[in-house]
Amino acid sequence: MKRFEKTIDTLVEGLETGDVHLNDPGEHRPIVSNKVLGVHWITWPITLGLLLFAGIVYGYDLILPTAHQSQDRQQHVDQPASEPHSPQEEGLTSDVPKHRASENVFSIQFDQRHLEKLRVHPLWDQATAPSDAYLPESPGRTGLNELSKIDLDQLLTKPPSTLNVGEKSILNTTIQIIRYHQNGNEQTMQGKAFWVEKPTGGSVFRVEFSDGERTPQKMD
Amino acid sequence: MVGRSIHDVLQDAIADGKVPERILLSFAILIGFTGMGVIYVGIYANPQIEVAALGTAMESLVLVAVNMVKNIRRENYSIRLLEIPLSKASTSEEAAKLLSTFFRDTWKKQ
Repeated sequence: MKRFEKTIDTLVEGLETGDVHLNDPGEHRPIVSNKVLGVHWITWPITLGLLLFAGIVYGYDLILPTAHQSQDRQQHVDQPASEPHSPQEEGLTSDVPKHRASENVFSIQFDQRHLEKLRVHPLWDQATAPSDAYLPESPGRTGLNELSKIDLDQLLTKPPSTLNVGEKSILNTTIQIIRYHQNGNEQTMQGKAFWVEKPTGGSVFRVEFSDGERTPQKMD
Repeated sequence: MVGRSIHDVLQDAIADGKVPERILLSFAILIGFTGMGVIYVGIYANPQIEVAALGTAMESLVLVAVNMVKNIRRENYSIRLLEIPLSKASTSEEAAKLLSTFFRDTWKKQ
């Protein structure tokens, strides 16, 4: 409120010395409108917007942990498509975006941190075998509504400490993942599992599926 | 008439507060969007509680900036309100006395 005090001082001094004179009658009518209180239009929308954003973000993370885990699971293309897919496969992946459906080889990678989350996932108990778990993917996010069945014993195997950056450590196992599509189809894929040392440090568990290994087959 | 009128003095005082007000609002918007991005990164792109906490801290700075803007506007409001009693004074001496005895003394006592 220093500006307010300074203004009063200026006015008092100016009025006493004659530097400041009274307003001419009718020249300036004090305009006091709600405009100066427009701060309400700024403060509250911003505050509520931020709170809403925080609520959505944190709520989404807390209430829907399965959806969050689907974000943790990163899928990316290792090489572009070179051969057309069979009609059978095209039919099963009809709800998959084209750029993904045309992949020849793709991989799914997990951080150790994400794997630990799987252990406490409520769907863990619904797995068909003690060493299996379901990794749900949220509907509507990727066009897929799939559950992935993975061998956690292999996922939780610690990577060798002698890996160099980018070097792979192939595990002596084949990972099986079952993808449940929105159209009701199921697809079983098998891939080789290995650890890869990240450039930023730490290791990433990766499952790579080749074109021949992702031939879909109906599950009972 | 020589010199400035009360209206001019008050308008200048109000205008003095516009620059910091706009700077603070710009900072609030900048920090706000940056904080949202940091929160998003801290949860999805690079899930770390420290990053998310940093974003939350940045968002709290927005509230500080907005609160400062609110104070500036409130001060502008007070300055503008001065014109109401001063416009009712018939002489400059009366207006000066009004300010001295009421606003300044009362304000300083508070």
